[in-house]
Amino acid sequence: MENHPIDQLFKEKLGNFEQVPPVDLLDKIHQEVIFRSRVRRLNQVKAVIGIAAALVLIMLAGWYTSSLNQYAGNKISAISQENNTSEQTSPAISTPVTAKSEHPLMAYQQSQSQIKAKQNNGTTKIFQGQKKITPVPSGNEPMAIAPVNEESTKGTTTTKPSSVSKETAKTESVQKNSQKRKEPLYFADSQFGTNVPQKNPVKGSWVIKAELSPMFAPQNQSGSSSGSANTKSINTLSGGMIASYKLSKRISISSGVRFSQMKQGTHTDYSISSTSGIMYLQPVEKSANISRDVSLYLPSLSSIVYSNGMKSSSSNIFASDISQEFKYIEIPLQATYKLIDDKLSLGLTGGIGTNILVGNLASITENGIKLSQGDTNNLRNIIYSGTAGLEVGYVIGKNLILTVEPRVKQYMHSVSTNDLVDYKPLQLGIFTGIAYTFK
Amino acid sequence: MRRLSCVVQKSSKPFIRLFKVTQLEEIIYKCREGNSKAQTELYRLFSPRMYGVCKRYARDSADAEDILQEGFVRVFTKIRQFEFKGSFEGWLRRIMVNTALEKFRKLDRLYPVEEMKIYESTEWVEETISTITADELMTMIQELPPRYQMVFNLYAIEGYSHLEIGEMMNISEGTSKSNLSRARLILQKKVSENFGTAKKLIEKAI
Repeated sequence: MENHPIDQLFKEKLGNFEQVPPVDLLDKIHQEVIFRSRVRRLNQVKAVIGIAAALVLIMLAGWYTSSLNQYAGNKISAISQENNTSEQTSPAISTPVTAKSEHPLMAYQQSQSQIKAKQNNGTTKIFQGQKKITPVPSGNEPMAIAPVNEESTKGTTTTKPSSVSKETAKTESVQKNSQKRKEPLYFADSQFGTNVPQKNPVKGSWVIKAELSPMFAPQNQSGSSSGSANTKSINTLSGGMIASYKLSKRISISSGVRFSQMKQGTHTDYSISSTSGIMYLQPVEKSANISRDVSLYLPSLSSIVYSNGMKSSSSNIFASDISQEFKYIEIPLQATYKLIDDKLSLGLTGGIGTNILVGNLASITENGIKLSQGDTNNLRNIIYSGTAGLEVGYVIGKNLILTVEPRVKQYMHSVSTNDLVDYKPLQLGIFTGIAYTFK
Repeated sequence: MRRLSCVVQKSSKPFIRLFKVTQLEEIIYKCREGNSKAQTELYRLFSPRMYGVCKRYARDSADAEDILQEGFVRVFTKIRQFEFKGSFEGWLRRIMVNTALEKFRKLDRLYPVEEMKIYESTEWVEETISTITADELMTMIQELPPRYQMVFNLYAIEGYSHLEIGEMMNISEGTSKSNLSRARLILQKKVSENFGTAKKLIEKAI
């Protein structure tokens, strides 16, 4: 690099140039940081809502597919029953099978020819001897194929109803066939020409539930070091939308989106001090609870008030009430085991939840007057929680179930990342909701 | 010559010695957790020097404040990316420089400048140099055409190579060299005009 005199001159004079920026710039920076953090959280919430919407869409698609299958199954059963009925009421009809039908496709051919015969000639059509049948599967509808074995194809070649005794024999033969067709049906994939055995869908596979509950927080926090601060938890509300899938008769899993809150009030002695034009809020004796990490803003003074760690030049001690509120979006994953599954159902439920911090508010009041508001520092953005409880359901309509679920929720991590604060709240809720069952 | 009225803090000791490394690390860790108090502390420690950096890249004080504000917001939101490898001040300075560069790009200030007359290079006696204040030099830098200002700052004061400057500003290495030469000439002329005791040298800058 060249060592030019101009470069030297400017580097010497400006290389370590320092100048104090305007005082209000720090406020602007703090406001911008808070604003961007809110925007980021809002984006996270949007992402969560997007995921939830996608889950709901997937569930709806699953429900739609299962209902389609169920509809197709019902249709095929109806066709089968119709065949049986017509055969029973028209003893003149018989199935002309001349070769052994070992493959189900042959059985399909038989059933198709029967249907055609019914449609064309009603009950008077009689097949004349051996006839080659060309299968013409329809492209849109699933086909029903009855399993056929050798026995079912034997002795069914009667073509001439010449006498009453023969007709009686045919009737017996048809009855035998119709009995055999009462065996389980299989769906034939008309597109691929393969037979895929499929289970009947479980009734009530999908359940969508809206629930709401007051949340009680039984424990209080006390500052372990001094005992001067005493934090009381305040009851809040929680609610959300949950989708459940019934895995078996007794076990189901559920997930969705739930909003939950934590709220607490702390009465303690604080001092407000001022250093270099910036105001600080400082507990007189430091507590070990979450109230130690509050940051409060005094807009009128255009300055920031902070808790712990700052030395003050002058101070005024006063008693204050600090209110803190944390809001979370929870994505639960729960399993339920049904003990009783009737009009009144009872089950055990438990699972885990991912709680994403979406709101953080703190305010300070003195004699009922709100002095300022800000937020709590060092909050964990994501906390995992465990849930356990009972699920009581009562059928109130064709597809509607009223649910009451007393549940306990325990946060697995401390709400704060501050090592001095170990606050893992326990919350009790009685969730009341309406569930809609897709059948 | 216009003089700026702001207070200038002068520190003879290296900046890092003013604050223990362990304390600085503690502040950085707290900032990573979003601690507002630690952010304030960090701002107090580094804002005067960073404001000085921003002023060199700005057209005026308001511009410098904008760059400083955006730079510190980025520092606080991206402080997790600092991995304690190298100097924290260097990391901060890079953020400020990049912020300034982006701001200038957005405002389309990096337009090519016209050909300029080549001035004779000068050398100044020690007395002349001691009479020039930092504020006066700062004003001279701020009055340079934007691209010259950027190249001169990056090369002469930050110590980047022409290759690096070319990559940063999307210009060729040759353009960077050319811009630097012209910036030097303009500054040289301004110093000569404002401080008449300067004695001419025969040699040319280029």
